[in-house]
Amino acid sequence: MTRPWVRQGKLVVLGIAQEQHADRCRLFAQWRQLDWPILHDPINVMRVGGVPVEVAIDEQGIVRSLRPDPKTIEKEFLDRTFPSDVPEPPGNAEKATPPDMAALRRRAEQNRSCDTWRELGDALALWEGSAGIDEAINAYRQALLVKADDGDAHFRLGVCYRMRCESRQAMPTDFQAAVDHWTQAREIEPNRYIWRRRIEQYGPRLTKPYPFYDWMEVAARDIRERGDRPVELSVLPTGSETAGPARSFDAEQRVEPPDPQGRILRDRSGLVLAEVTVVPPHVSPEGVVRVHVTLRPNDRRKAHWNNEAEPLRLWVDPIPGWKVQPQLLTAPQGNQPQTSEPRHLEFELRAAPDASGTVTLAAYALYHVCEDADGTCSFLRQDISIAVKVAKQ
Amino acid sequence: MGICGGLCLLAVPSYADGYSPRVGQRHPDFTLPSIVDREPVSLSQFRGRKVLLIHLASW
Repeated sequence: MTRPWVRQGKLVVLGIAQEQHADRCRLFAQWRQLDWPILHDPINVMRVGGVPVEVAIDEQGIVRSLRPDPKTIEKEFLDRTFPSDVPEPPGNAEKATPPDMAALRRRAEQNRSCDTWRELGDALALWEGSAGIDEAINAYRQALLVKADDGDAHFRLGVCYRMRCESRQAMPTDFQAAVDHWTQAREIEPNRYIWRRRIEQYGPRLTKPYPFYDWMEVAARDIRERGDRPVELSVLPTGSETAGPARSFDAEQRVEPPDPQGRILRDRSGLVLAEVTVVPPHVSPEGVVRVHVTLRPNDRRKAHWNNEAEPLRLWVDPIPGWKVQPQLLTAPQGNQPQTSEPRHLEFELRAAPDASGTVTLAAYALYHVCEDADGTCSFLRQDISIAVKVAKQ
Repeated sequence: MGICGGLCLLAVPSYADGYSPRVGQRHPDFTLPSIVDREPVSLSQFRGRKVLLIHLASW
């Protein structure tokens, strides 16, 4: 709708995306053929309360309308001349520049307030990418040492942990740390819509309002049909991010454990590393959580998946009163005989009605893995403990 | 302008009370990275033009 006005030079459209991943927004813009500049706000630094929000701003930078009506915007905004009676603030730069990082560091070190640490974290998270992520995490943690209930610092720290868990610097606990901080942020300010949606992306289907990223498959297909190549994503959405909501917890299934007597050799040399994240981090009795298990071939052991044998499987042993859906999961194989990508599996747990404290479920992964050093390939089992905290009533 | 006073070191003003632009008042300037190339873009770059600012998400 705005395209004719933009072509005529009457209007500039400027977007700000509330997204963890900029490339998903690029894909969305490519699909919808949005040819206006879109900026990235992964940490909700604009503190916008929801999306979409549209604001009409005149030539002097004055807000003239909130949620302008498409039927009247031309007459009431585009074709009007507004008075310039609001004083211009001093020192407005004409050329956009990123913030003065050195000055922000000095101010945080000297002032040591929650605000100055948080602002340093914000600048690092927005402008330094993975190179600044460790420092951003430290800055937000310093902010929280000063003010433990700063919701913004918790949310943005969660964003940084999630960024790091998708980078080469990933630590095994990063995803869970992201979820933990997002959860604390939401408990501090429960009305923050953007924060709520960020954690729901990874959460159980029973509490999911809608599928978040199921549009991506359609987008990629439509773009190819136009003869274009879809934007390549650095991180593919996980199952939870594309799954739709569910109305019931369907736990009926007939599957057999693949290694009931535990006869498969254990991966004692750590050729594959496992990480477990529970979303949300606490469950109520009869509540549901989504468990994310990531398995990575160990770089230090130069390990890789053997894709010419059976695929990776994960089995989850239920305990009395708890339900698991599904109990047996299979990860897709890599597209070449040997690959070393992390493999991500998800399942849902429903807590027993009398659940309390911290409950540990047993799971195990079975996989074919090779070690480059001596060329040995093995079929191995790794036992995985899944600790789930039950919220106090 | 909150903590930043007249010079915003962060390049985004402090929206301590949440994002709440007011009709008739100046929209605070901000600088954020482009999703395409991470280059900085400020609202003030578009001074002299009418702007439709859209906060959005793909989800």
